[in-house]
Amino acid sequence: MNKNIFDSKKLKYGSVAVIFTAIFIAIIILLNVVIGALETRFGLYADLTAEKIYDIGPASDTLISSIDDRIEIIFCRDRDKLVSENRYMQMIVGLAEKYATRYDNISVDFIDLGRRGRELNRFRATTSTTINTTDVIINAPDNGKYRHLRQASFFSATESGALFGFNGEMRITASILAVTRASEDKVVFTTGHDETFSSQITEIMINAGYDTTDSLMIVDLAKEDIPENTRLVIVNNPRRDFSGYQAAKNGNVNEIAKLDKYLSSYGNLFVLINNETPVLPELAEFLDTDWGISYHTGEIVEDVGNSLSADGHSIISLYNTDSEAHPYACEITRRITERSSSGRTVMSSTTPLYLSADAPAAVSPILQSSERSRAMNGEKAISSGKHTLMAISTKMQYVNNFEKYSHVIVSGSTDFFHSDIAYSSTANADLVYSILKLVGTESVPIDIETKPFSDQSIPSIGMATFKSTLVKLAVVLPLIVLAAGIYVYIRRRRL
Amino acid sequence: MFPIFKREMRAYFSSPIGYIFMAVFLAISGAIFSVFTVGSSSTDSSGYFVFILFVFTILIPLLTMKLFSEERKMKTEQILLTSPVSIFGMVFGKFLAAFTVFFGTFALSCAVNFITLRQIAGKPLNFAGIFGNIVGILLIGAAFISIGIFMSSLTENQLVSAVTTIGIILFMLLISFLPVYINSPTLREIVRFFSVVDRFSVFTGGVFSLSGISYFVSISIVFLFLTTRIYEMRRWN
Repeated sequence: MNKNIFDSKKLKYGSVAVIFTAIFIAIIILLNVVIGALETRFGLYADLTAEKIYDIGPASDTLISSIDDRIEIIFCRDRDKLVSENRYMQMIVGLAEKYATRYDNISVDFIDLGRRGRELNRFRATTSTTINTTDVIINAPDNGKYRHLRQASFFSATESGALFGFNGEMRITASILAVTRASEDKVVFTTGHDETFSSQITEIMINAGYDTTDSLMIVDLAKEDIPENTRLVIVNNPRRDFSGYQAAKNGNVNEIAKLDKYLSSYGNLFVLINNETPVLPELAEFLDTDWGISYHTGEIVEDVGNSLSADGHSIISLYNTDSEAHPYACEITRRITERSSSGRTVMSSTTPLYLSADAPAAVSPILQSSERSRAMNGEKAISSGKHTLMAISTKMQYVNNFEKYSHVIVSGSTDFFHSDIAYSSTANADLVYSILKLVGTESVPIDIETKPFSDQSIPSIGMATFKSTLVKLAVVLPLIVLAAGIYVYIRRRRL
Repeated sequence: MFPIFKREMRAYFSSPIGYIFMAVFLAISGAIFSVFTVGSSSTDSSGYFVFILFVFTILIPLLTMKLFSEERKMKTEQILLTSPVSIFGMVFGKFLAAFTVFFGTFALSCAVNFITLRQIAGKPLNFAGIFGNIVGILLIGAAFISIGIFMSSLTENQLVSAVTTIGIILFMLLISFLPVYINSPTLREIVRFFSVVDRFSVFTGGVFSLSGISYFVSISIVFLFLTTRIYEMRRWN
């Protein structure tokens, strides 16, 4: 009698076994896909980096939580290629995805430039704008604003190009704030008086959210007016005077009048000078008479016992902490002084500032030198004791029962933005952010720090140390284990 | 299961195999660690952890090649199949023994390596990141051991078992280099889904990833399951 092959126990069990095995493996694969999706959706991972690269701090959380607008964080390459490219893109992508996980109105999208480049054309400001595969675009689709960020802007680098910190949280938060701001606040740098410009100033402004040609402008007051929505005008190290009343009498533009009119409309001014700033009569008279802050050409503060340099000119500034008498000055330094690891603000080549009690404004020192400092003019000591290194002068008006302020801040040092000072472990950049916060809207993202990469270098490793380590780890220990093995083996053979 | 575990542990350390494995592992790991850290004047150990994955290609088969192959060759697997121990218990006992030897050796090498590095560097290391990497390596080691056990169960020839295990481990490591040549993003995602190096690189980047952990644990589960199925089939036969 022929047996039906399909009744064979072997085949039955065999086929059931195979099916069961296949189903089991499929379930395992599916489980992994689900876990991967959940991880992306709910951020089910732990950030074990020393720098806490993927953390979103409370300062960002406060700012972003108040925004309801839809935000798209767009990367210009497929995700897997980006994260496999280098660890820096991995950081940026990981952080962006953390934002998307935490906030429902923020999403991350990967639009490959090679395959879907047309979709990115709407982010080209001009026909000559280039978009790179490592660029990031922060887009607010509801109001049509966007920010186009280069990979390099997410990192802090020394002048030699070595990366030393991750700015991702600040850049993303600042950009989100910038694209959701109702109006385009501006910061203006004056030109036409041999002012100084540096990439460090620009980077600080960009990190604060003023990162487009519309928000960060250079204006020649002799030819243009200060634009509307300007929150701060910066005069950085002028070497030639502004034109004033005399110039107007001769038919030229009165730049001082423009500044005065701007400040009268609740504007703010930040002037940086130093010990080499020449006599600028119009500007000096304006600052002294209207705002109570003056300086003497050629004077420099020397504070030997409180300086980073032997000549006493790189002064570790003292903060004004008398908040009752000087509230605006303390408002600027409060964020620095309240931190447990309070940073130092270093002022280099600083000319002392003199504050007038008779000014039609409330004048306060922000930064001072120590009691042991001296003001020098060449070899001659002019005065000794505390000297004002940075000052703020404030006028307040009531408009419709609301207090409106205008501030003039004068720094006696132009090295404030010097690369070595702004980017070392000082609080110089933080001070600038505080100033922007004071004069701007709430949407300046300060209190978000650069996350410095931990220094993993080991200094002074000679060849001798390396060789001894190699011998210890790769020879001695294995030999001990081998010796134990030989001993056990010989003993067993003897038994 | 526990008697099987004890038996295998005794077998590892009463024969040269366990000591050779430990000595070779410590030597290679010590050398690689020295080059990547002290030799590079850096406390960054991420390169060491990635490199050690490729060392597993040779070392792990050393641990697993005889686990079932020898039983088949010596005809002692019948004793195991007829013993009161469940098949899964038998498989898991052997897996646990191999993993214990691997874990002990790796833990010893990490302890010695990182303590030495800490002394030389004179500053704290990022132990959270190091811990994440170590957990990742242990999970990958467990996954590779389970693959080795499966291959060992298929043949009575230890050499064949070792070579095939090496082949599979190498394949799983080398597929991470394939996506560069693939244009389709979907296909690339699929390849990267199965790529051990891509999964592990998340750990070296300082992220303790749940999906990475589940992936490596899944490999262990699947291959231990397949080994159990093989022996169940043999039992029925």
